[in-house]
Amino acid sequence: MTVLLEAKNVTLRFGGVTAVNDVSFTVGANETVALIGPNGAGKSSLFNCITALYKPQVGNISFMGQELTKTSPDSIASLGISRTFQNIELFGGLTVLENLLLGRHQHLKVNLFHAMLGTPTWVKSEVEQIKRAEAMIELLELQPYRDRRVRGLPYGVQKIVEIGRALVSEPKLLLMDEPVAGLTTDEKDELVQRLGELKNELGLSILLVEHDIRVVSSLAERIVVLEYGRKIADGTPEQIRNDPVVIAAYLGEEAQTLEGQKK
Amino acid sequence: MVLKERYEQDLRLVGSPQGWAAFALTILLFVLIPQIFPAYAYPVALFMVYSLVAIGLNILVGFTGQISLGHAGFFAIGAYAVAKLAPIITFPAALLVAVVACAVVGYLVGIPALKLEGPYLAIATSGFGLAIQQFFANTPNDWFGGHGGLIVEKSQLFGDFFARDRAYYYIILAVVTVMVYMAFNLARSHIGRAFVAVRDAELAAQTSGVNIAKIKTLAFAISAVYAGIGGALFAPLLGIVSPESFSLLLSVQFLSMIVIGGIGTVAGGILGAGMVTALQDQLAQAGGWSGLLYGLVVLIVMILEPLGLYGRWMKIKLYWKSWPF
Repeated sequence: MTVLLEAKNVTLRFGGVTAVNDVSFTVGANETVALIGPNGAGKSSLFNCITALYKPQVGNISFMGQELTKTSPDSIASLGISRTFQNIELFGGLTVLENLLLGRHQHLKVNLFHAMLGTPTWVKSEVEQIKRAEAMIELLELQPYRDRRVRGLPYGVQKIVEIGRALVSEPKLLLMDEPVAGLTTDEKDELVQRLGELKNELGLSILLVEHDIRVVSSLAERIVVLEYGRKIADGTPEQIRNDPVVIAAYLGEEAQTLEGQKK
Repeated sequence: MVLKERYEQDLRLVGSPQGWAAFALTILLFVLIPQIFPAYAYPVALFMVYSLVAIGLNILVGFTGQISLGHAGFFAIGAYAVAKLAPIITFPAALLVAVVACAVVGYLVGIPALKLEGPYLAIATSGFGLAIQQFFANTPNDWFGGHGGLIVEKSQLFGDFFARDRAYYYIILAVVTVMVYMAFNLARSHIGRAFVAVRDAELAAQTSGVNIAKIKTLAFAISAVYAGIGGALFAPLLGIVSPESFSLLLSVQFLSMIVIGGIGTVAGGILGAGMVTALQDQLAQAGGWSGLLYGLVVLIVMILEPLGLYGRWMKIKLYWKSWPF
């Protein structure tokens, strides 16, 4: 499998606290990898390193040959990485369509004067973006909400809109920080199924942080386990389930829940 | 009800026959005002000038969420550019200088503003406004006329024909119409979207590819240009430009226009400018009580319409759309 994302010996410190400690892992093309670990294990910090919001003191992260630790957060999208956030980060004052259009921002090359004068060049570019956004709205079945402001939409719908905004930029790698947090069991199942379909349809790689072990095991082909900023395990869900280090050091009671679900 | 068949239709500023009728009537009304109600030509011209400032301020405050209490400064730069340069290099050239100067200064003010938010930014920008006022007041008298200011002779700028108040009214109308058109275009464009995105979720905007520093300083520059053009049109209208006109109070007034009219929409800025200008014009007759009455009216509007006048308009529009149900 070709490696898409490779993190090597990444160490991130905030003052005296080491949030991420010498972590290395890879995400392959069309692979789904889950990052799990207790709160404060460094999962979100690692996400922020990949999206260039944080600069790790040691190590490097490469994406298709590009060094991410040396780029700026606003150029990540044009490299082919997009993300969703732990607490939904949508543009509340914009409609669903406009939120998706903003996901296309990196593809827009029209300048201010075309925009202010509403020239045919601008109209052509805008129509092109609207078509893409419209296709995403259809794919995610968001038609009823197309022209509604995002602020005030149900939580579950907002989660989908956020995923749509990430996908409409046509990423190769999608980072998702707790995509099912706060959803009901039914909504979770639906989202998991949808993500699986989208992944195959769009040829995506996915890296997700998730606490819900059921979701992780059904989505991820590989799991990376973090604890106190260190990687303690890396393998298939089967391997992780049976890894004595993981069971002893971290999963504990959750491992038993897993056993319970299998029956 | 207009059925939309093509995406291009979504992008039209005026979409329906009713919309076109309203647009034509508005333009006609503004064209006819000096002919039918000559007494109102001055306050209406003032309203148009202020509406440019309010639109600009709304782009900054309403769209990107950066507050400014220093827009009197940009307004002053535009006014002084015309007062000082128009007799030498003609009015259009002086207007261009005002635009460039305000764009540059606006961009420069926008850079430190990246680090400041809310009340801190409000105080910092008010400092900018005061500094500009003091600059024009305290530079040598042969530069900008010191505390006394500069006289602006319309006849010198436009020749005898346009020197008449009515003719100058139409110059203002033309410039304002173009600028309002561009503001509506900007608001619904990808740049307007990015402005709002930065306000609502900066982090997500950034990871979507929006360069935060660039878009925020751009908003400052555009906002300053609108205020500057307002100032440039204001100078010949008033006939005199002096530092005392560009006080902190004027900046506060600009801010009250967008709050009253509606934060975050182009139309809101225009409505607010209209309301505030009309109030001041009417209340001026109340003498010493005018300040108190003005405060009262503003208070009542804000209590009844927290979303501003434009919010009320949207509610009415929505009501009639579904009428009679």
